[in-house]
Amino acid sequence: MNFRATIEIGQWLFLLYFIGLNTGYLMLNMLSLISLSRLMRANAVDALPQAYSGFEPPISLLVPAYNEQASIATSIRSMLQLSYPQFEIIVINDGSRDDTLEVLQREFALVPFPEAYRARLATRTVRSLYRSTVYPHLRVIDKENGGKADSLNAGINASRYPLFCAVDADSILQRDSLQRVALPFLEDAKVIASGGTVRIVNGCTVSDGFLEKVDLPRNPLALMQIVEYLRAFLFGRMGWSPLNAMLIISGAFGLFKKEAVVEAGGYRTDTVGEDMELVVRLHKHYRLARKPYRIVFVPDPICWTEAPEDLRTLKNQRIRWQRGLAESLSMNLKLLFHPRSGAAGWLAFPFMMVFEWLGPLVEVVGYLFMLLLFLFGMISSQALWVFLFVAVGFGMLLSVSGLLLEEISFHIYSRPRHLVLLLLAVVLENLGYRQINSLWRLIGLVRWLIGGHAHWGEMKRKGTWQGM
Amino acid sequence: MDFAVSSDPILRFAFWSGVGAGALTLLLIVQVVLMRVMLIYREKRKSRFLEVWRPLMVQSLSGNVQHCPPVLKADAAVLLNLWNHFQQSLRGEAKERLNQLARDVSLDMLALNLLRSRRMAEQLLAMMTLGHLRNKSAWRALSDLLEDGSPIVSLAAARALMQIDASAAVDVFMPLLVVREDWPSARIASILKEAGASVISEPLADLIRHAPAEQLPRLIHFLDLAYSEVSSRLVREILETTDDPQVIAACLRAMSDSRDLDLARKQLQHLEWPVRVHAAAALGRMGSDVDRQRLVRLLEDPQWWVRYRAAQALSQLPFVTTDQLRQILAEQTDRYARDMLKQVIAERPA
Repeated sequence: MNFRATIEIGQWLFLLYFIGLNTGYLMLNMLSLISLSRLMRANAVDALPQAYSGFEPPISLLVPAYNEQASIATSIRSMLQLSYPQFEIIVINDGSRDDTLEVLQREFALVPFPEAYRARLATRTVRSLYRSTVYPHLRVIDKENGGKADSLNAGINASRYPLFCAVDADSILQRDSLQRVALPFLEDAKVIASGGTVRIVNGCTVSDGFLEKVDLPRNPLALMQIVEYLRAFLFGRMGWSPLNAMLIISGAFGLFKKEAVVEAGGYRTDTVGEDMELVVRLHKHYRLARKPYRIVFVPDPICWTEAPEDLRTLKNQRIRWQRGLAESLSMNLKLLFHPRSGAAGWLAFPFMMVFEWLGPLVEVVGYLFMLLLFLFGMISSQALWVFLFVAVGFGMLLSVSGLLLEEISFHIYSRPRHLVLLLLAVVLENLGYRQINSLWRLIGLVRWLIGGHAHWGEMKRKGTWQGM
Repeated sequence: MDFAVSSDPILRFAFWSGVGAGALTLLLIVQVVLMRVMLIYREKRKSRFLEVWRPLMVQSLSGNVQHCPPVLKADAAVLLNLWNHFQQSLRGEAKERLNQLARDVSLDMLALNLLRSRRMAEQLLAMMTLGHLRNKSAWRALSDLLEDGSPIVSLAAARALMQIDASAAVDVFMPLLVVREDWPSARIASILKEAGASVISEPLADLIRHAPAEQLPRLIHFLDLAYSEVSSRLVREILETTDDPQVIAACLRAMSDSRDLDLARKQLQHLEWPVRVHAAAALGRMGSDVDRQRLVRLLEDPQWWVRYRAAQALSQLPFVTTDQLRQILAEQTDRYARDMLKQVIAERPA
């Protein structure tokens, strides 16, 4: 085979990869469209006030905290106001180096509590447990630093209720968040986990820890992440859910059946993607054991989180996410094409592997390959432009289809100005932002290959929406 | 546009794929914009409609409505939604007055028409309305919908039927509890609760008596909503004949008559720990001082949940003070029993 033929094959491969990737996502989009339409029809009546049935399973809210002294009191206060018949809050102070524990002790009148702690999952040493004298359903675990996964395992050990909800300390919830995310557990006894849509809080108004008014951020990076989140949640997850093949539940807010998680071994502490790894492992555990189960996505916007507004923080976040993805998939390779693995192992896993795990490598190499061929005069400027035209065109198509799903379902960005800005973001996001994202993800992939220690992801917060 | 006719097949393929993606993108943008325009139009129309009808609904609560404008078919669903919102937040006489307003503006006829709609949301609204109005002429249509494959539709029909005539509806609703495993327990419980213990107690007990064994744990849960004498009688009957741990646990959970305490005491040594958990909890609810030693022994159980429920039960026994619990704690030699008692003492309200 001569050099030119090799180049031609390379060009075809990259082109077909891009088209395959986008066609795959468009099919997911179609699935989401069907599920969302069905859901919106049923929601028309669910929107009416309904009394609690008394059958709602009680929930343990697990809140791992590491150096959260500035915001922990506000977060916990808002969580205490959630509307749900029965729940407890367990804050896990993961050896914070700041005054997180002191703030909690002061604000919630904590006293040491002689808990008969049951170590079903191994964790770092638990130093002590506290209980609030003001809010009897609030407890605090103080433990040695071991990371988020280790903290969640300690929380599971101390939890009293059959369902636990893992929540980031900085998540902004809605009063009915627990009700909504728990609904699938009421509807189907086979459900072992449910996750909700996470939205970006930048630009919004938050009062007393609750979202008051939705708006768009002025920061262009945050704006583009809104389009990205719409894509990721409304069809990246909604599409897989009816096939029972959703491999991710965001660590920011997810509800799990405790016994299912304990049976699967709890959270793994040797990965930065403990949230995704757990969900993939649950699929593997249940599929391979031939146990009926469901992992469900709730598309309602029930959790809001702050998106990075500077390149450095965003870069670190994306590197961590990519590494987490690579770890989650590589740790559960047994699920891939296993005869019993169903849609999770035959569709979602290979899709994630080819388009998400290895995707950044193919994308970055593809861009570089075409650029080099052009610089060395091996392809014409026409060919380079056409390649960019295809890549950008499909990217925009995917972004705008995410926006369409939002418009069909919740249209929470209700003002005409919002729509104009979002459409602008759909275009701009594909002209540089996505490409640089691919580069960061490639770095994440390389770091995963090289290895290294997992640690808490630190995020530079602006919190301009807070304190209003 | 040289790419379109280029001799290079890759270039041609890529170009036309890009054109396809671009065209679809434009189409979707147009669709998004159109949907937004439609939404704004619908919202404006809806708010104009509500501006007229919300005050009328409020006036109707005091019986002061003079004149109601005619309702266009396009506004029917909005009106039904508003009316149902009011209905769900009212009690007693106010509910009746609202029903009168509905009859005055022929809301029942609108709902009967919407019952045949292909849109599930409209159908559901119609069923809710007919239920609140206790409209008997909808009985036949609602009975048909009770057989619908969708659990959402069939349960909405069940609720409406129960509201219209609970005594007649239990005869058609109850047998379906065994068959319809897709009906969520929480929704069934809501309907049974709304119907009331006087209507459901005996039919539910009858259903459980004849239900297949694998359905019993699920159905026994609903006994919480029945009269306690009916539930106790049935629990006694079942416990005499069953050896299924899940059924025994469900019965212990439903137990509410202290005359059955001996049945619970017998299960304290059961091989399955979930049974021991529920037996301990039953003693906590209904037990007396004579159960103290039984529960103290259970504090050494290998299962955390059994120890916890036993300690809680001890703490709940009548006239057991914190000092007495501390005395029991001092007598314990088992570390796990001590730890559990310490926790439960700390949990006691000050």
